[in-house]
Amino acid sequence: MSVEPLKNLPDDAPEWEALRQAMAASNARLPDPSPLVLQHALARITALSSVHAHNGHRASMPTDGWQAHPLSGLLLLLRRQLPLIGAGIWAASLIVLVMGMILTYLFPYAGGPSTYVLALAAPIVAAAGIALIYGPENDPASELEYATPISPALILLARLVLVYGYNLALALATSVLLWLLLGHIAFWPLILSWLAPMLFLSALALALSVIWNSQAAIIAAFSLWGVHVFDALRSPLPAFADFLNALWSNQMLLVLLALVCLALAFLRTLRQEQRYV
Amino acid sequence: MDEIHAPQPNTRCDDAERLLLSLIAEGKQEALVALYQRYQRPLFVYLLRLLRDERTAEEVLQDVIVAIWQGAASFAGRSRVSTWVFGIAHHQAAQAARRHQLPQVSPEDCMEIGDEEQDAGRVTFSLALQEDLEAALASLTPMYREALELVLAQGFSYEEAAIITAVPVGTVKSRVNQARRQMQRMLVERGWREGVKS
Repeated sequence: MSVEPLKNLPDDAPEWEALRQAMAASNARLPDPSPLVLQHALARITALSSVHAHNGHRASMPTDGWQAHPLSGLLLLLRRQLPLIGAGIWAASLIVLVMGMILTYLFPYAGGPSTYVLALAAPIVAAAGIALIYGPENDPASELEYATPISPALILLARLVLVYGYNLALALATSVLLWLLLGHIAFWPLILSWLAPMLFLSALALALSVIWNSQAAIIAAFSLWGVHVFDALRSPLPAFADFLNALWSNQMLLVLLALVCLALAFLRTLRQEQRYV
Repeated sequence: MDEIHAPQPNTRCDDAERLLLSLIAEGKQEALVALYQRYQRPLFVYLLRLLRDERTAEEVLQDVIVAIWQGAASFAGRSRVSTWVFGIAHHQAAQAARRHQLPQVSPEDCMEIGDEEQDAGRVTFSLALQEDLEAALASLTPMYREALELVLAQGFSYEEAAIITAVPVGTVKSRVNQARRQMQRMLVERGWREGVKS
């Protein structure tokens, strides 16, 4: 590994260069590592290889006391993942859901809660956010994660909890506000109008982003939801509209499909992890 | 200090290291030894700066070698090999710091001091005594020492240092600037001003 000389120096360049040279001089006086470091590491690798040969799976490395303190470990993981999720995801959800609430307040359709702008916006904005939480195109540090003892599946779960939880909280807050402002709408039908679709679309987006990529996930989620929105607002085919309506209002079916998608996403992530061993 | 340095990737060096990584992924221990020989010194210096304990630094260096062995197949070449290796070292050092209850490498609870804080005064680093510089370096918190070490001593760009330490680029810039200010303040406290010790 070679260190290049400093380039494009600013006005106070001499001071930075002097500091760099001072640090280099200081570093030069630090000792070398013991030759035993490599020997011990190679011995550990040999031991790990024999464990792999026997067990056929990745031997676990020290995992920072996770077994002893799983809750604090999970909280720490959530905090660590927070800055790695794109800032645009948080901002987009906030803007879209607040706009959705305002538009619903100003123009409440007579078609019921499922046609409210808020109910139409909440599932797709959550799905778009979820589609962008994982993968090398969204995370420049993803290569490092594969080389760390924290499982990529656990990282995926942490990010899912953060982004889905954020969208869920926002959608709930805006729904409560809308319910208080409008007065004449029923609370639970409003919540149920977006809750299961949001879960299913998010799970679908996650599965597609893990299996293919984020673009494919966003296109699929937008297409699927777009057809439903178009149909809900202005259906040219009543029979098709009835079918879609039955599908999107079947909470049990949507939850079941969401669980299948989530299982697929995590199985795929675990498989990737095994490939890297 | 927006563009204090932009080290051009040493393509030939990186190609050789990528080849070594692909051999490690195939299970060739000789390639791991060759890669270690390239990195043992810079990695150990980085770990020593961070952890300030020779034994712990050696223990973490061992963990890093094992992690490179385990993770070599995951290296897809989107970053320089050095960025990848130092990212692993950062992660392992953070874990060791928690295990040994040392000052945290990435303290989430630690408030970062704003860039707007006043300069402590001009100090000519090149003229200060090495002993005073060492003391000023030692007075920095681990995350500031790490930022200086990565950007100034190891020659990583801000973007690379951000990937290594898993923080936004702006945070790295802020830490580097803040570290220099703190060092200046420390040197002033030790009697250095305008290159002269009073």
